Amino acid sequence: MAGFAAALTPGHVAMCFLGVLLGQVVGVLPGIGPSAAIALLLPITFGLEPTAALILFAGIYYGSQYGGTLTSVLISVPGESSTVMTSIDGYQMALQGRAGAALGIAAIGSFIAGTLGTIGLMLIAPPLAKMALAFGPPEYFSLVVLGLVALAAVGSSVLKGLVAGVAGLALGTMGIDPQVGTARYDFGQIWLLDGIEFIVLTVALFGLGEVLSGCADAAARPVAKVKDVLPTREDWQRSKWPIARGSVIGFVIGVLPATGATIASFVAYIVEKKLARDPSRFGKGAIEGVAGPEASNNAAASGALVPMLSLGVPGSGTTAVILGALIMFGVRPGPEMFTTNASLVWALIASMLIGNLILLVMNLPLAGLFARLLSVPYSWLYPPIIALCIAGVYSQANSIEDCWLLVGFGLVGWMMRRHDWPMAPMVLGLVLSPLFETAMRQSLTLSLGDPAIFVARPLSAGLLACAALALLVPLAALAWQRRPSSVR
Amino acid sequence: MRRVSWGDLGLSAGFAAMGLVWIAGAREMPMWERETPGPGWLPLAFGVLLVGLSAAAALQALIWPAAAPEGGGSVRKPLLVLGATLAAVLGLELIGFLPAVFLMLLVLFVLAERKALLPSLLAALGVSAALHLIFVTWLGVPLPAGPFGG
Amino acid sequence: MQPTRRSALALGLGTLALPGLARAQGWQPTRDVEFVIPFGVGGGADLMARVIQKIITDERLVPVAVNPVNRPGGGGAVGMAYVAASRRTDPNTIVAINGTTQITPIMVPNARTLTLVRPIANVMLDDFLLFVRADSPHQTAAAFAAAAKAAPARSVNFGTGGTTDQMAVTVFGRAIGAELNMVNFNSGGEALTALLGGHVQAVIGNPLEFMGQLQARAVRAIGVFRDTRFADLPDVPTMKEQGIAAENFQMWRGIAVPGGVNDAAAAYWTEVMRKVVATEAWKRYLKENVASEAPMFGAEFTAFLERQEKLYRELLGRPA
Repeated sequence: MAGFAAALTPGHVAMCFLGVLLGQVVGVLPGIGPSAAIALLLPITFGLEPTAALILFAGIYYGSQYGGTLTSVLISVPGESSTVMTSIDGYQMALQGRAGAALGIAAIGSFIAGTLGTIGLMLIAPPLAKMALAFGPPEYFSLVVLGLVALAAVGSSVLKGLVAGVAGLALGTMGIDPQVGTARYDFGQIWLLDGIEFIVLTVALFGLGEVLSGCADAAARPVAKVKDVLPTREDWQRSKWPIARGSVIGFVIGVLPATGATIASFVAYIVEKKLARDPSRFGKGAIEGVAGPEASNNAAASGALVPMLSLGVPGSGTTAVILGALIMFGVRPGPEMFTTNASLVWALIASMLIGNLILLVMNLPLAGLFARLLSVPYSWLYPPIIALCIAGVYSQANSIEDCWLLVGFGLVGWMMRRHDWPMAPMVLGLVLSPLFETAMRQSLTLSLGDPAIFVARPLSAGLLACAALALLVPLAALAWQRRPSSVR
Repeated sequence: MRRVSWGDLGLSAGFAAMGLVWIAGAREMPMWERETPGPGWLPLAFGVLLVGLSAAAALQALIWPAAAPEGGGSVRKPLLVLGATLAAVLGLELIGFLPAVFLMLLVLFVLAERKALLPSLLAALGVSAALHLIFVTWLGVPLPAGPFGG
Repeated sequence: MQPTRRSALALGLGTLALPGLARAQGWQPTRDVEFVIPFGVGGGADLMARVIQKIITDERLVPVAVNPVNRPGGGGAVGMAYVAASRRTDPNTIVAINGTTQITPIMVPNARTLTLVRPIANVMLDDFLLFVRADSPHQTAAAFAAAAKAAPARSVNFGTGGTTDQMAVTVFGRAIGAELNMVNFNSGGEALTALLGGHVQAVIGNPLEFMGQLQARAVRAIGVFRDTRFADLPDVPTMKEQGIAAENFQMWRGIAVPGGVNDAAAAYWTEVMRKVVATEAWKRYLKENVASEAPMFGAEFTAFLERQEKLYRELLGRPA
């Protein structure tokens, strides 16, 4: 309770407000992520006391998860890498005139997940961080295998989805091999030594690809009627469990130091699709496909603070920057953080509860307001979208070459959309590829080449069993359904 | 009437070609580092998988042609838009972000969408100036200034 | 000098330019300085560069504004290529360099980094310590080394958080005459997690990432790879004190100017960096990061870099 009192000083509330506001703005801009925003602000914040700075940075972090949703839903340009899944069903909802409902449910889901995640951070952070330590290379490997099984589940066509997924995995091997330092598929270009950046690929495929396939009939395209600005009772009924599940999934995945909000949002989407009574609705504007991932990425943002605060290990790129900043302020996170720096931690937690409330209050009216943006005819809308894609992709690494990739993969995205090839497996493959390869090679280094390491450890074996089930159960169900027809 | 989707075949061929590039590239990398897979092992596996799956997708497109009609819409306008985007990216370093994006917007509004000149000019100016304000002035992103920007 | 002063006045910095004029040695920045950081926003190299930029600004060491610009990619190669392509003779540009930029061309032969710029000053050295988990049976590096030597080859697992850590493990393995098994992670933080989880038995890494765990006594530092103990860690002996003949191993971080810059401008920047490393703010930054002071300039720095290059090539098994 002392923490609440500390957080409620007007100065801290102002910092919290400023943070979530900046986070919201930064989230909207593709290519500029919360880590860049925090690093840019860092020199200005040297004069602040550590608590105020931490409240500001955390606000930027979780605020950006709200902001990234806006562009994903409205124009299919993911503002943050963790909102890619939102752009699949959210954008379809927007085309049906239900952008307000999508944004509304995203804001509500994010609020619930952010609050639950904060409570999780408050109650079980130290024991949870200890549990996360049980995750060694073999466990990460098996977790990624579970994710890879889901590749095929994302799109409409299993075979096309697999091709796109493996292409994404292959793209993920570009650049300097992190294990031994060999350059791979750089084609003699030094700018390819870091491989292809995730946000560049997603903005190209989803953003520019959508513009190219949508511009053909831009003039004829009816302006989406903005109906029900806020989610209806039915939307809420459909979304409440996805939000609950997304919160738990996101928090747990966020706690694991090598994974983050992006993977959390993928998992939440796949879980919702697997559990849905009618999975064919996904990809055509299912509100569960917005609610689950949106809850998940916000819970993951809270979860990522667990290893940072209680182990001193960053759980994501953004928390790495926050950690660096804290050290500059003379605060050194570690196992004793919750006792030696209790007032700072409690003030942070209190500020996160307040910040999420501010974001909800800010976003619900904004949802309706921004949904009206789509009443602008598409022929006026899409050229500025391209300009935003160019500026965003460039600013990701201040690189002109990334803009060439934007054009190239924009063309690929257009072709794929035109012929109904799912694109989500490709970006999923790109995210999982380095994690998969690193974990596999680390594990085999530990076991001196013996693959039994993956099944000898109980946690790893359990995850692999889940992966096998996820693969076999639908196949068995398929065989079961086909049998009567083959008898007939 | 069902017909073969040339688009599916083309995409399959493209992905298969990528798989071949990956296989060829992997041959120049060490396959093993002692008992553990080396830098070339997984890329080779992904390349082989990609070729195999693409071949299957191509077969699928040939044997069971899509029931749905070929993906709709003309290709002329998307190509024009893509060309304008490419030109803008080309111009980024030559003439700078502001003029390149302004010209791209103007071309798209006037040529692709046949809007009236005056509103197009205003919209193009407003959007490019707003982006410059956000990215360059506020966020300090060094978008290429070009010869006119100093 | 006249144009310099006028442009400085135009910037509203006239009063700030005066100490610069008093120092006049032939060259001064003629426009805003671009501080190229060849790494991503928020990383260790970026934070260091931004601290230097803040010190230069706060102490008014340069009469114009210094603007940091990130050009990340390819282990520093992208940023260096940018400097070489568009800033080759521009004295109003400075670049952050470090051991990683020196390693890149060793690992990737078509990448060029330090050969494209003119190193000016070394500003700090990152140190390396040997860590084990608190419940490890080995209380000292000597005991650890004896156990590692007695164990079968490659049965002792070391977590590493990057190429620099790998080189340190190689140094240690050679010194004790044991073949160690290296498990490579993406960052020191991940290696630390693996150590805490018991997935590896030891880690050699920068103290920075481990301080929180050290203070909580979850990990134990049992050896330092330099000649003297740390003031902050007086109980941790050096390798040499424990009879382990490990070479000193530290990673350098410094500042360079573009390759084609003339001597006058190079002298100017050397002078600025001399002042930066003498400030209280810089010393505080080093203390917070548990790093060593090691100011080196000009010929001394160049000779140091040549020695490092030889050492790295030898440790990585990639002779020139």
